[in-house]
Amino acid sequence: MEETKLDVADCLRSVRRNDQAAARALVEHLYPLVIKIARSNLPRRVAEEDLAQEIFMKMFAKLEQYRGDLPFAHWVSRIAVNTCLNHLRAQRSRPEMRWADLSEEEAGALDAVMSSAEEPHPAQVLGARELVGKLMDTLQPKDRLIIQMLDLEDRSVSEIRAMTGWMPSLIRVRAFRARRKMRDAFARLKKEERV
Amino acid sequence: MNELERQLNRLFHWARRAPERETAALPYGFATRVVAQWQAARPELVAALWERLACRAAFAAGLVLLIGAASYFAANWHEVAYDYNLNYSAMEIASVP
Repeated sequence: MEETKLDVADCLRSVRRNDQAAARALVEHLYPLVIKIARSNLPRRVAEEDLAQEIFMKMFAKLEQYRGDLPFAHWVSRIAVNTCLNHLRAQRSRPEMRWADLSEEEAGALDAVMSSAEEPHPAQVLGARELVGKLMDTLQPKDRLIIQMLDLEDRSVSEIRAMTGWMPSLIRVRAFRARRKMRDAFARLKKEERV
Repeated sequence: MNELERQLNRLFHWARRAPERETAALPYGFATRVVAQWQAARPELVAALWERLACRAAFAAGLVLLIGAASYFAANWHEVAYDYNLNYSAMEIASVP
């Protein structure tokens, strides 16, 4: 794997000397990490590639501020997370979730989840993923991010701390509140479905 | 754990099982595009750096000036007050018809 061979410290020194080949190598090395964060927290009407490009531009602009006190990948993750949060905040409107707006797969997943089906159909799995995405869209950007990392990506609190710079206690409190909001949105949806 | 919580957990569990989208392959020319954009923005970045530096230098100079003035007045307070009184008296005498 080419990515594992890259000596990031050496590459950063070259980039600071305005070495364009090193800059390209750095972008190639970090792209999977950046695009994963951008995809997971992609605001509506923003292309993931544009978002990734913006994140890299911020990374280059702030490169002089990187002191090496945390791994470079974590530092870039924080830039990526903050850029996504800014876009999500700018989006402002948080759509209210209505049962009538659900697609066939999402409605099917909701039905199956409520009827305790043990082994879901692949379409229900996809439906569940979309349904969770829609429920998450009703949350505040930071709450959405926490749910994404904790419940969907199965990350630990320390991983989230490394990626966001938030204190563990703040992460736990925010996760608790975000989870409660998700539960409320889900309960509303269930209620509508029964009606 | 109530029924609602159980159902929400199940929903998350299923959502986690959904296949990830294809691992990110770098789009053709992406790195070159980003680096070109970075290079184009570089003069602006350097200018912004100088601007920040100039602002900080101006602020530091102002601070040094203020501290210098304050310490001068603190050290020579009596003389300054004496000079002021002297000048004031001289003006009073001069203004007497």
